[in-house]
Amino acid sequence: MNYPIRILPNINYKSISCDLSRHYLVRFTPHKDILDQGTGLIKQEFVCNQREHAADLSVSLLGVFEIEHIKIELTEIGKSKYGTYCTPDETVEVPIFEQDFKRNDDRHFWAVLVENIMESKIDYTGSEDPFTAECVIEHSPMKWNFWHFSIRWKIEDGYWHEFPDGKKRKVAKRIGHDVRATIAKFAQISEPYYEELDKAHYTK
Amino acid sequence: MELAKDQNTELLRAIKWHFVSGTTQIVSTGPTVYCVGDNENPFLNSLSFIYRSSFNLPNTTREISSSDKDFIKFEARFIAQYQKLEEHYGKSDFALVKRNFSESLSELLKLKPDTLSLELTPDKSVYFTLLKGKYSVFIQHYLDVSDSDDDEAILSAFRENEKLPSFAGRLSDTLSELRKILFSPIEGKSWSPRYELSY
Repeated sequence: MNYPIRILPNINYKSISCDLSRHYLVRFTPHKDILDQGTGLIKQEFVCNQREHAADLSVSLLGVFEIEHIKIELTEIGKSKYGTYCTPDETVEVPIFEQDFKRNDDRHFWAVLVENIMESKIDYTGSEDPFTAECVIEHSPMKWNFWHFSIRWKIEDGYWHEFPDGKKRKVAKRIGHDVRATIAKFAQISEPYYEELDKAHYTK
Repeated sequence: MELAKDQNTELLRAIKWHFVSGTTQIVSTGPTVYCVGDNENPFLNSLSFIYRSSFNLPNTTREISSSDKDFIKFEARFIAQYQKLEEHYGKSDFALVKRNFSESLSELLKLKPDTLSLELTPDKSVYFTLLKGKYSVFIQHYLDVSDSDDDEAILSAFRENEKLPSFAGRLSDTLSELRKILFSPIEGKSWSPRYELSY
């Protein structure tokens, strides 16, 4: 299997900062049956494994990165070589099949429209220790995937995942809960219709 | 107060009368009149009648009995999930965890949701998803809170696709907020009693 070179960083690429509202974000799940039979919504355990992941949720932007690319799984060697952040125009060697990556057909996915997450602000102003938080979809390219993004949350004091532990724990529980709820509400497990991002937004 | 017998449960229910006056909605149980709208002092004799509805009298233990089957079903699911996650619960007292779970479950069942699901989590909480009408509610109840400063429960909700303000704190306060969301008859406003008559 050849690695899809189109999803690698490229010397001609730049950081993406345009409006992504009408685009979809996708994240892999290790199971196929992730919907609750009663509600039809994604079970919270399949949104992300641990509360800490909700602070900085790794996803990919659908477009050049296709649903099929969800099947790519880095090996332990591959993780050490390609599992780190990089610049958009980083020069990266093409990963080698079975050495750096493998195909895992047991990987499935959920996808969510960016607009639905961006509009779902977190508001705890009616509670003790009040705060509000806004979703920030940040382009965070990695050596294995230029189209890697991070769903992060910014409150008035800054990015909450950078807080000291005491305050971080309380905010973490609340934001983690809201993230799971929002994803469960809006995510879908069927492949959405998606288009590639205009080249002007990611090429120099 | 007018009473009527529910044919299914044989419980006595109180009757509410619903009226409208311009943009103001009024509900009367007889001894108490609730008003929501622009007119805070409607002249009751000039109101237009809309419909009658019924509501449960307080402290009706038979009302709890009517959802026993659901309670037992969810309790069984809780136990099954607990057994899978037991290692994460460590030294937590199972009786305490179960009692706390039963408390939130029974309160949520009283809301008569269209659909209710639950997931036990490794961080000692139960995550409920409740669908009722146009509302999607996600409520997380931490079953073994040792630090009084920690949130005992967290609530987030959507009205159709609109996200509502979230709430976190004591379980009782969180459930109270949930009732306000689900049973506020004029969305975005809250009921406030205007008149109360004594017999």
